Amino acid sequence: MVSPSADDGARKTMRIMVVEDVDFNLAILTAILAERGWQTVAAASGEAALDILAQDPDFQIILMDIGLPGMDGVEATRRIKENPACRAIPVIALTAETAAAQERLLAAGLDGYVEKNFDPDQLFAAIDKHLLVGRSRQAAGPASAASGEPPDLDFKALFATYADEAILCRIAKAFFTDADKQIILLGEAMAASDQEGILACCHSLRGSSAIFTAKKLGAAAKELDTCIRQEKKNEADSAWHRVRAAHESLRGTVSNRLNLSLQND
Amino acid sequence: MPPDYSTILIVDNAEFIRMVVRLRLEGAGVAPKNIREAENGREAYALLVAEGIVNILCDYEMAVMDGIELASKLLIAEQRRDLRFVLFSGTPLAKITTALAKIGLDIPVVPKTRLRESWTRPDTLGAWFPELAVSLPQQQK
Repeated sequence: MVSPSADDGARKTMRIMVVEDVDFNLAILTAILAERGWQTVAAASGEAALDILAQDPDFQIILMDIGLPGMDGVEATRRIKENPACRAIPVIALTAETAAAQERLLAAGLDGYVEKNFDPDQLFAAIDKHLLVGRSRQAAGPASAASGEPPDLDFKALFATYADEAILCRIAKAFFTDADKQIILLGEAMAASDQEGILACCHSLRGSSAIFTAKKLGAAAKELDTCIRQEKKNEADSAWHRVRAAHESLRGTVSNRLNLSLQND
Repeated sequence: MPPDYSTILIVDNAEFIRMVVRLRLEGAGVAPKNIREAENGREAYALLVAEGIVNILCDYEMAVMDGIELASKLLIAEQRRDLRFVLFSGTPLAKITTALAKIGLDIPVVPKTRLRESWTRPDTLGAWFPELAVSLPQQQK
Protein backbone atom coordinates (compact mmCIF):
# COMPACT_ATOMS: atom_id res chain seq x y z
CA MET A 1 0.00 0.00 0.00
CA VAL A 2 1.09 3.54 -0.69
CA SER A 3 1.96 5.93 2.08
CA PRO A 4 0.40 9.36 1.89
CA SER A 5 2.73 12.01 0.56
CA ALA A 6 3.98 14.87 2.72
CA ASP A 7 1.35 17.24 1.39
CA ASP A 8 -1.56 14.92 2.00
CA GLY A 9 -1.95 15.97 5.59
CA ALA A 10 -2.51 19.52 4.51
CA ARG A 11 -5.13 18.66 1.90
CA LYS A 12 -8.75 19.03 2.65
CA THR A 13 -11.09 16.05 2.34
CA MET A 14 -11.80 15.17 -1.24
CA ARG A 15 -14.99 13.55 -2.48
CA ILE A 16 -14.71 10.86 -5.09
CA MET A 17 -17.67 9.14 -6.68
CA VAL A 18 -17.14 5.47 -7.46
CA VAL A 19 -19.60 4.06 -9.99
CA GLU A 20 -19.27 0.30 -9.62
CA ASP A 21 -21.90 -2.42 -9.43
CA VAL A 22 -19.73 -5.17 -7.91
CA ASP A 23 -19.62 -4.88 -4.13
CA PHE A 24 -16.23 -6.58 -3.87
CA ASN A 25 -14.59 -4.10 -6.27
CA LEU A 26 -16.29 -1.23 -4.50
CA ALA A 27 -14.98 -2.35 -1.12
CA ILE A 28 -11.39 -2.53 -2.44
CA LEU A 29 -11.59 0.90 -4.04
CA THR A 30 -13.10 2.46 -0.95
CA ALA A 31 -10.37 1.00 1.24
CA ILE A 32 -7.62 2.27 -1.07
CA LEU A 33 -9.08 5.78 -1.32
CA ALA A 34 -9.56 5.91 2.44
CA GLU A 35 -5.78 5.57 2.80
CA ARG A 36 -5.53 9.18 1.73
CA GLY A 37 -8.48 10.23 3.83
CA TRP A 38 -10.65 10.72 0.75
CA GLN A 39 -14.38 10.41 1.05
CA THR A 40 -16.02 7.90 -1.26
CA VAL A 41 -19.61 8.06 -2.47
CA ALA A 42 -20.78 4.89 -4.19
CA ALA A 43 -23.22 4.57 -7.07
CA ALA A 44 -24.21 1.08 -8.19
CA SER A 45 -25.28 2.14 -11.69
CA GLY A 46 -24.98 4.91 -14.24
CA GLU A 47 -28.51 6.02 -13.45
CA ALA A 48 -27.73 6.22 -9.72
CA ALA A 49 -24.60 8.28 -10.47
CA LEU A 50 -26.64 10.80 -12.47
CA ASP A 51 -29.24 11.03 -9.69
CA ILE A 52 -26.56 11.76 -7.09
CA LEU A 53 -24.86 14.35 -9.29
CA ALA A 54 -28.17 16.08 -9.97
CA GLN A 55 -28.53 16.65 -6.22
CA ASP A 56 -24.89 17.32 -5.42
CA PRO A 57 -22.21 17.81 -8.08
CA ASP A 58 -19.44 18.59 -5.55
CA PHE A 59 -17.03 15.80 -6.51
CA GLN A 60 -13.39 16.14 -7.51
CA ILE A 61 -13.17 12.84 -9.43
CA ILE A 62 -15.52 10.16 -10.73
CA LEU A 63 -14.21 6.60 -11.09
CA MET A 64 -16.46 4.92 -13.61
CA ASP A 65 -16.87 1.20 -14.27
CA ILE A 66 -17.63 0.70 -17.95
CA GLY A 67 -19.49 -2.62 -17.94
CA LEU A 68 -22.42 -1.51 -15.82
CA PRO A 69 -25.87 -3.10 -16.05
CA GLY A 70 -28.42 -0.86 -17.77
CA MET A 71 -26.79 2.43 -18.74
CA ASP A 72 -23.10 1.65 -19.31
CA GLY A 73 -20.18 3.79 -18.17
CA VAL A 74 -19.66 5.45 -21.54
CA GLU A 75 -23.28 6.61 -21.77
CA ALA A 76 -23.28 7.76 -18.13
CA THR A 77 -20.12 9.78 -18.82
CA ARG A 78 -21.65 11.32 -21.93
CA ARG A 79 -24.61 12.53 -19.84
CA ILE A 80 -22.35 13.81 -17.06
CA LYS A 81 -20.43 15.85 -19.61
CA GLU A 82 -23.68 17.32 -20.95
CA ASN A 83 -24.43 18.82 -17.54
CA PRO A 84 -22.66 22.20 -17.07
CA ALA A 85 -22.70 21.71 -13.30
CA CYS A 86 -20.48 18.66 -13.45
CA ARG A 87 -18.80 18.54 -16.85
CA ALA A 88 -15.51 19.76 -15.34
CA ILE A 89 -15.26 16.71 -13.07
CA PRO A 90 -12.72 14.29 -14.54
CA VAL A 91 -14.19 10.85 -15.21
CA ILE A 92 -11.68 8.00 -15.07
CA ALA A 93 -12.71 4.65 -16.51
CA LEU A 94 -12.13 1.50 -14.49
CA THR A 95 -11.57 -1.07 -17.16
CA ALA A 96 -10.08 -4.44 -17.99
CA GLU A 97 -10.21 -3.66 -21.70
CA THR A 98 -7.36 -3.91 -24.19
CA ALA A 99 -5.24 -0.88 -24.95
CA ALA A 100 -7.12 -0.24 -28.19
CA ALA A 101 -10.44 -0.36 -26.38
CA GLN A 102 -9.09 1.99 -23.73
CA GLU A 103 -8.18 4.51 -26.41
CA ARG A 104 -11.75 4.26 -27.68
CA LEU A 105 -12.95 5.18 -24.18
CA LEU A 106 -10.93 8.40 -24.36
CA ALA A 107 -12.42 9.12 -27.77
CA ALA A 108 -15.88 8.57 -26.25
CA GLY A 109 -15.32 11.36 -23.73
CA LEU A 110 -13.77 9.75 -20.69
CA ASP A 111 -10.81 11.65 -19.29
CA GLY A 112 -8.59 8.66 -18.55
CA TYR A 113 -8.53 5.07 -17.48
CA VAL A 114 -6.97 2.73 -14.96
CA GLU A 115 -6.62 -1.00 -15.20
CA LYS A 116 -9.25 -2.74 -13.15
CA ASN A 117 -6.62 -4.92 -11.55
CA PHE A 118 -5.04 -1.68 -10.47
CA ASP A 119 -2.47 -1.19 -7.83
CA PRO A 120 -2.82 1.76 -5.46
CA ASP A 121 0.18 3.56 -6.99
CA GLN A 122 -1.43 3.56 -10.44
CA LEU A 123 -4.77 4.63 -9.05
CA PHE A 124 -3.31 7.50 -7.04
CA ALA A 125 -1.17 8.60 -10.00
CA ALA A 126 -4.23 8.69 -12.27
CA ILE A 127 -6.27 10.59 -9.70
CA ASP A 128 -3.50 13.12 -9.01
CA LYS A 129 -3.05 13.73 -12.73
CA HIS A 130 -6.75 14.28 -13.36
CA LEU A 131 -7.30 16.39 -10.27
CA LEU A 132 -5.09 19.02 -11.86
CA VAL A 133 -7.05 18.83 -15.10
CA GLY A 134 -10.32 19.20 -13.23
CA ARG A 135 -9.14 22.21 -11.28
CA SER A 136 -7.79 23.81 -14.40
CA ARG A 137 -11.23 23.40 -16.00
CA GLN A 138 -12.98 24.77 -12.93
CA ALA A 139 -10.63 27.74 -12.89
CA ALA A 140 -11.67 28.53 -16.44
CA GLY A 141 -15.35 27.97 -15.65
CA PRO A 142 -18.23 30.36 -14.97
CA ALA A 143 -17.15 31.12 -11.38
CA SER A 144 -14.01 32.85 -12.62
CA ALA A 145 -15.56 34.44 -15.67
CA ALA A 146 -14.44 37.94 -16.45
CA SER A 147 -16.11 40.46 -14.18
CA GLY A 148 -14.05 43.48 -15.13
CA GLU A 149 -11.33 42.89 -12.55
CA PRO A 150 -8.35 40.57 -12.86
CA PRO A 151 -8.76 37.01 -11.57
CA ASP A 152 -7.15 35.91 -8.32
CA LEU A 153 -5.02 33.41 -10.18
CA ASP A 154 -4.40 32.32 -13.75
CA PHE A 155 -4.40 28.67 -12.82
CA LYS A 156 -4.38 27.60 -16.44
CA ALA A 157 -1.04 29.35 -17.05
CA LEU A 158 0.37 28.04 -13.79
CA PHE A 159 -0.75 24.52 -14.61
CA ALA A 160 0.77 24.80 -18.08
CA THR A 161 4.14 25.61 -16.49
CA TYR A 162 4.07 23.21 -13.55
CA ALA A 163 1.91 20.23 -14.48
CA ASP A 164 2.64 18.45 -11.25
CA GLU A 165 0.48 18.79 -8.18
CA ALA A 166 3.24 18.24 -5.64
CA ILE A 167 5.35 20.99 -7.23
CA LEU A 168 2.39 23.35 -7.40
CA CYS A 169 1.73 22.76 -3.70
CA ARG A 170 5.37 23.54 -2.87
CA ILE A 171 5.28 26.68 -4.98
CA ALA A 172 2.01 27.84 -3.43
CA LYS A 173 3.33 27.34 0.10
CA ALA A 174 6.53 29.21 -0.70
CA PHE A 175 4.54 32.01 -2.32
CA PHE A 176 2.39 32.49 0.77
CA THR A 177 5.39 32.24 3.10
CA ASP A 178 6.84 35.27 1.33
CA ALA A 179 3.58 37.10 0.61
CA ASP A 180 2.40 36.80 4.22
CA LYS A 181 5.68 38.36 5.37
CA GLN A 182 5.35 41.18 2.86
CA ILE A 183 1.76 41.91 3.93
CA ILE A 184 2.88 42.19 7.57
CA LEU A 185 5.77 44.48 6.60
CA LEU A 186 3.47 46.49 4.38
CA GLY A 187 0.98 46.96 7.21
CA GLU A 188 3.77 48.20 9.45
CA ALA A 189 5.06 50.54 6.75
CA MET A 190 1.56 51.89 6.12
CA ALA A 191 1.04 52.51 9.85
CA ALA A 192 4.37 54.36 10.02
CA SER A 193 3.81 56.21 6.71
CA ASP A 194 7.16 54.77 5.65
CA GLN A 195 7.03 55.44 1.90
CA GLU A 196 10.26 53.65 1.09
CA GLY A 197 9.13 50.59 3.03
CA ILE A 198 5.73 50.59 1.32
CA LEU A 199 7.29 50.81 -2.13
CA ALA A 200 9.73 48.00 -1.33
CA CYS A 201 6.89 45.72 -0.23
CA CYS A 202 4.78 46.62 -3.26
CA HIS A 203 7.74 45.86 -5.50
CA SER A 204 8.22 42.45 -3.91
CA LEU A 205 4.51 41.60 -4.03
CA ARG A 206 4.25 42.66 -7.66
CA GLY A 207 7.24 40.58 -8.72
CA SER A 208 6.11 37.43 -6.92
CA SER A 209 2.50 37.91 -8.04
CA ALA A 210 3.54 38.21 -11.67
CA ILE A 211 5.41 34.91 -11.47
CA PHE A 212 2.65 33.17 -9.52
CA THR A 213 0.05 34.59 -11.96
CA ALA A 214 -1.74 36.26 -9.02
CA LYS A 215 -3.10 39.06 -11.17
CA LYS A 216 -5.48 40.70 -8.73
CA LEU A 217 -2.89 40.95 -5.96
CA GLY A 218 -0.31 42.25 -8.42
CA ALA A 219 -2.73 44.89 -9.70
CA ALA A 220 -3.64 45.99 -6.17
CA ALA A 221 0.04 46.30 -5.21
CA LYS A 222 0.70 48.34 -8.34
CA GLU A 223 -2.23 50.62 -7.50
CA LEU A 224 -0.87 51.18 -3.98
CA ASP A 225 2.58 51.87 -5.40
CA THR A 226 1.11 54.51 -7.73
CA CYS A 227 -0.89 56.17 -4.92
CA ILE A 228 2.23 56.42 -2.74
CA ARG A 229 4.34 57.87 -5.53
CA GLN A 230 1.61 60.42 -6.25
CA GLU A 231 1.20 61.11 -2.51
CA LYS A 232 -2.52 60.35 -2.55
CA LYS A 233 -3.04 59.41 1.09
CA ASN A 234 -6.76 58.55 1.05
CA GLU A 235 -6.50 56.56 -2.14
CA ALA A 236 -3.46 54.78 -0.71
CA ASP A 237 -5.50 53.63 2.31
CA SER A 238 -8.18 52.23 0.00
CA ALA A 239 -5.55 50.56 -2.16
CA TRP A 240 -4.00 48.98 0.94
CA HIS A 241 -7.40 47.49 1.82
CA ARG A 242 -7.59 46.09 -1.71
CA VAL A 243 -4.13 44.56 -1.36
CA ARG A 244 -5.18 42.78 1.82
CA ALA A 245 -8.49 41.66 0.31
CA ALA A 246 -6.74 40.36 -2.82
CA HIS A 247 -4.20 38.51 -0.69
CA GLU A 248 -6.90 36.77 1.36
CA SER A 249 -9.03 36.06 -1.69
CA LEU A 250 -6.00 34.51 -3.39
CA ARG A 251 -5.36 32.33 -0.35
CA GLY A 252 -8.92 31.01 -0.59
CA THR A 253 -8.67 30.39 -4.32
CA VAL A 254 -5.34 28.58 -4.12
CA SER A 255 -6.45 26.62 -1.10
CA ASN A 256 -9.56 25.43 -2.93
CA ARG A 257 -7.86 24.70 -6.24
CA LEU A 258 -5.05 22.68 -4.68
CA ASN A 259 -6.96 21.29 -1.69
CA LEU A 260 -4.20 22.76 0.40
CA SER A 261 -4.30 24.31 3.84
CA LEU A 262 -2.59 27.71 3.68
CA GLN A 263 -3.08 29.09 7.14
CA ASN A 264 -1.81 32.56 7.92
CA ASP A 265 0.51 32.19 10.92
CA MET B 1 39.35 26.81 -3.10
CA PRO B 2 39.35 25.46 -6.70
CA PRO B 3 36.61 26.87 -8.93
CA ASP B 4 33.38 24.85 -8.99
CA TYR B 5 31.94 25.17 -12.50
CA SER B 6 29.18 22.59 -12.04
CA THR B 7 27.32 24.49 -9.32
CA ILE B 8 25.09 27.54 -9.59
CA LEU B 9 24.08 29.92 -6.83
CA ILE B 10 20.61 31.53 -6.72
CA VAL B 11 20.48 34.75 -4.73
CA ASP B 12 17.10 36.23 -3.78
CA ASN B 13 15.50 37.22 -0.48
CA ALA B 14 12.20 35.53 -1.44
CA GLU B 15 11.97 31.77 -0.89
CA PHE B 16 9.26 31.61 -3.57
CA ILE B 17 11.52 33.15 -6.22
CA ARG B 18 14.43 30.90 -5.28
CA MET B 19 12.14 27.89 -5.59
CA VAL B 20 10.84 28.93 -9.01
CA VAL B 21 14.38 29.48 -10.29
CA ARG B 22 15.51 26.19 -8.78
CA LEU B 23 12.68 24.30 -10.49
CA ARG B 24 13.52 25.90 -13.82
CA LEU B 25 17.18 24.98 -13.43
CA GLU B 26 16.33 21.43 -12.44
CA GLY B 27 14.05 21.26 -15.48
CA ALA B 28 16.98 22.36 -17.62
CA GLY B 29 19.02 19.45 -16.31
CA VAL B 30 21.01 20.94 -13.43
CA ALA B 31 21.29 18.39 -10.62
CA PRO B 32 19.60 19.51 -7.36
CA LYS B 33 22.87 19.05 -5.47
CA ASN B 34 24.50 21.56 -7.80
CA ILE B 35 22.03 24.31 -7.00
CA ARG B 36 22.80 26.45 -3.97
CA GLU B 37 20.78 29.29 -2.52
CA ALA B 38 21.47 32.49 -0.62
CA GLU B 39 19.04 35.05 0.78
CA ASN B 40 21.12 38.15 0.11
CA GLY B 41 24.39 39.41 -1.29
CA ARG B 42 26.28 39.05 1.96
CA GLU B 43 25.30 35.41 2.38
CA ALA B 44 26.08 34.80 -1.30
CA TYR B 45 29.53 36.31 -0.97
CA ALA B 46 30.34 34.04 1.97
CA LEU B 47 29.24 30.96 0.00
CA LEU B 48 31.19 31.98 -3.09
CA VAL B 49 34.35 32.40 -1.10
CA ALA B 50 33.89 29.22 0.93
CA GLU B 51 32.84 26.90 -1.90
CA GLY B 52 34.46 28.26 -5.04
CA ILE B 53 31.14 28.69 -6.87
CA VAL B 54 31.53 30.70 -10.07
CA ASN B 55 27.99 30.68 -11.55
CA ILE B 56 25.64 33.24 -10.00
CA LEU B 57 22.00 34.09 -10.75
CA CYS B 58 21.27 37.08 -8.55
CA ASP B 59 18.31 39.33 -7.82
CA TYR B 60 18.90 43.04 -8.28
CA GLU B 61 16.95 44.33 -5.27
CA MET B 62 17.75 42.90 -1.86
CA ALA B 63 17.70 44.52 1.56
CA VAL B 64 21.16 43.29 2.58
CA MET B 65 23.80 43.80 -0.13
CA ASP B 66 21.84 44.06 -3.37
CA GLY B 67 22.80 42.55 -6.70
CA ILE B 68 24.81 45.52 -7.92
CA GLU B 69 26.73 45.79 -4.66
CA LEU B 70 27.60 42.10 -4.86
CA ALA B 71 28.56 42.34 -8.54
CA SER B 72 30.72 45.41 -8.02
CA LYS B 73 32.46 43.87 -5.00
CA LEU B 74 33.29 40.72 -6.91
CA LEU B 75 33.82 41.97 -10.44
CA ILE B 76 35.33 45.40 -9.83
CA ALA B 77 36.89 45.45 -6.37
CA GLU B 78 38.16 41.87 -6.48
CA GLN B 79 38.53 41.57 -10.27
CA ARG B 80 37.02 38.05 -10.27
CA ARG B 81 37.12 37.47 -14.01
CA ASP B 82 36.32 33.77 -13.60
CA LEU B 83 32.79 34.52 -12.35
CA ARG B 84 29.66 34.09 -14.51
CA PHE B 85 27.25 36.67 -13.11
CA VAL B 86 23.64 37.20 -14.27
CA LEU B 87 21.22 39.64 -12.65
CA PHE B 88 17.44 39.28 -12.70
CA SER B 89 14.94 41.85 -11.56
CA GLY B 90 11.38 43.12 -11.45
CA THR B 91 12.73 46.66 -11.86
CA PRO B 92 12.68 48.16 -15.38
CA LEU B 93 15.81 46.88 -17.06
CA ALA B 94 16.84 50.27 -18.46
CA LYS B 95 17.26 51.58 -14.92
CA ILE B 96 19.54 48.68 -14.03
CA THR B 97 21.62 48.75 -17.18
CA THR B 98 22.12 52.48 -16.64
CA ALA B 99 23.25 51.84 -13.06
CA LEU B 100 25.59 49.09 -14.27
CA ALA B 101 27.03 51.29 -17.02
CA LYS B 102 27.77 54.03 -14.49
CA ILE B 103 30.10 51.72 -12.60
CA GLY B 104 31.49 50.12 -15.74
CA LEU B 105 29.86 46.70 -15.48
CA ASP B 106 28.56 44.82 -18.48
CA ILE B 107 26.66 41.75 -17.29
CA PRO B 108 23.40 40.15 -18.49
CA VAL B 109 20.20 41.41 -16.87
CA VAL B 110 16.89 39.59 -17.35
CA PRO B 111 13.34 40.41 -16.23
CA LYS B 112 12.06 38.45 -13.26
CA THR B 113 8.64 38.24 -14.85
CA ARG B 114 10.03 35.87 -17.45
CA LEU B 115 11.13 33.35 -14.84
CA ARG B 116 8.17 31.12 -15.66
CA GLU B 117 9.11 31.06 -19.30
CA SER B 118 12.30 30.28 -21.03
CA TRP B 119 15.30 32.06 -19.70
CA THR B 120 16.59 29.09 -17.78
CA ARG B 121 16.43 26.80 -20.80
CA PRO B 122 19.62 24.83 -21.51
CA ASP B 123 20.51 26.98 -24.54
CA THR B 124 20.19 30.19 -22.52
CA LEU B 125 22.13 28.65 -19.67
CA GLY B 126 24.80 27.62 -22.14
CA ALA B 127 25.27 31.22 -23.23
CA TRP B 128 25.53 32.57 -19.71
CA PHE B 129 27.15 29.67 -17.91
CA PRO B 130 29.05 27.66 -20.55
CA GLU B 131 30.99 25.52 -18.09
CA LEU B 132 27.81 24.63 -16.23
CA ALA B 133 26.08 23.69 -19.49
CA VAL B 134 28.91 21.30 -20.33
CA SER B 135 28.18 19.43 -17.10
CA LEU B 136 24.47 18.93 -17.93
CA PRO B 137 23.20 15.52 -19.06
CA GLN B 138 23.61 15.27 -22.83
CA GLN B 139 19.96 14.31 -23.51
CA GLN B 140 18.64 17.41 -21.78
CA LYS B 141 20.71 20.01 -23.55
